[in-house]
Amino acid sequence: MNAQSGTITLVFASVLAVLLGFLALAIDLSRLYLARTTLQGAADAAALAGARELDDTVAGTVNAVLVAQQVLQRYRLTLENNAAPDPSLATFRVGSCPNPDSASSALAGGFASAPHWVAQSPSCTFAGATANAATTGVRDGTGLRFLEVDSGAQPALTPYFAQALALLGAGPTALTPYGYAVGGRVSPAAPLLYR
Amino acid sequence: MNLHRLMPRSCPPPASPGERGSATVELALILPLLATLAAFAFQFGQLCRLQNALQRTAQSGARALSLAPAAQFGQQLAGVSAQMLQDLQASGIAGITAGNIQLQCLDGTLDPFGTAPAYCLPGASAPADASLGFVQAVVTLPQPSGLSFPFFFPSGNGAGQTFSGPPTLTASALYRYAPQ
Repeated sequence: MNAQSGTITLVFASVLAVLLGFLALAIDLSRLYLARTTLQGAADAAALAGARELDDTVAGTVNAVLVAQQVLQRYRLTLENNAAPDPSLATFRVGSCPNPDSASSALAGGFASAPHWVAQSPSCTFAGATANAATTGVRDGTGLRFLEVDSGAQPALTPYFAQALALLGAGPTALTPYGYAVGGRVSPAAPLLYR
Repeated sequence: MNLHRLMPRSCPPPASPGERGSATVELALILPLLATLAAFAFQFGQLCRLQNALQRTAQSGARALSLAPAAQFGQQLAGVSAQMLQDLQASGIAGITAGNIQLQCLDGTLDPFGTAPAYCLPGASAPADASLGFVQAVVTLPQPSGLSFPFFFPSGNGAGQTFSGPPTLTASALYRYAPQ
């Protein structure tokens, strides 16, 4: 009898660790999904708001990025409503597509799920290839002007699951949701296009 | 004859009278803990589902209002609010009312107006003008009802603490006003 006493306790302790890990995973995934939904909405709103500023001037380009950053920061990512997207982690790229027909139809129809859709449109170019193209501006005055908002990986979540796995010496280090959107218009007076 | 010698080694020896039922008792002790964990996970998921529904509704409401023609802004304001309420109720959110939905007009610097402009009242006939920069939809659900396990969120005083009940859920979405 002495050899058996405590056996169930040991088994339970092992099972409990696994159960707690799954519990943490369930909670993390719920929060991740929530943050992903919100961040995608924030990227949509930022791209549309910024794209409206594009008027083929450097000032318009600067404003486009600024407005997009402001809008992005107004969103809250977590259930606790205490974490806003960090605009310094996001990428705002301004560019143009000389061939407005194909570009605008691509925007209106929407590409499947490929990020950085402009890469699929060889005629489209960025004013700057890295974050914040505001200093160069888009002034060619032809085709589609667009603002691309890529929220980047926003480490807003405390990864409970990772913490649980860390006890076992493994697991992801962070859960990072992201959002991506493009807004643009064929001319400064034309309706906004968006995907 | 010693029957133990004939049994396979993996087969446990017969339980003594004192051991019988011990596994059942231990399971009975452990089961409430497991059930509590499962209930907590379920409850958290339910809250996330509610928050997600609020966020999606706020998003679609703000987007719809941002596209409202200037001349019909007031009418669209009322219509969007009603549509949002309908969507939330269709999502199965109990206790939601029109009072939980706020549609706000913001100026070009993303600040709310000191006094709501004439066009920014539900049903108003005044057209929206250039002072309208952004529209914001805010949906608040204070202490959501219909939770499956509300005992995780007690309310009242006890043990030297004040418990405030289920958390208030808030979702908001902000769009540039861009009538099409």
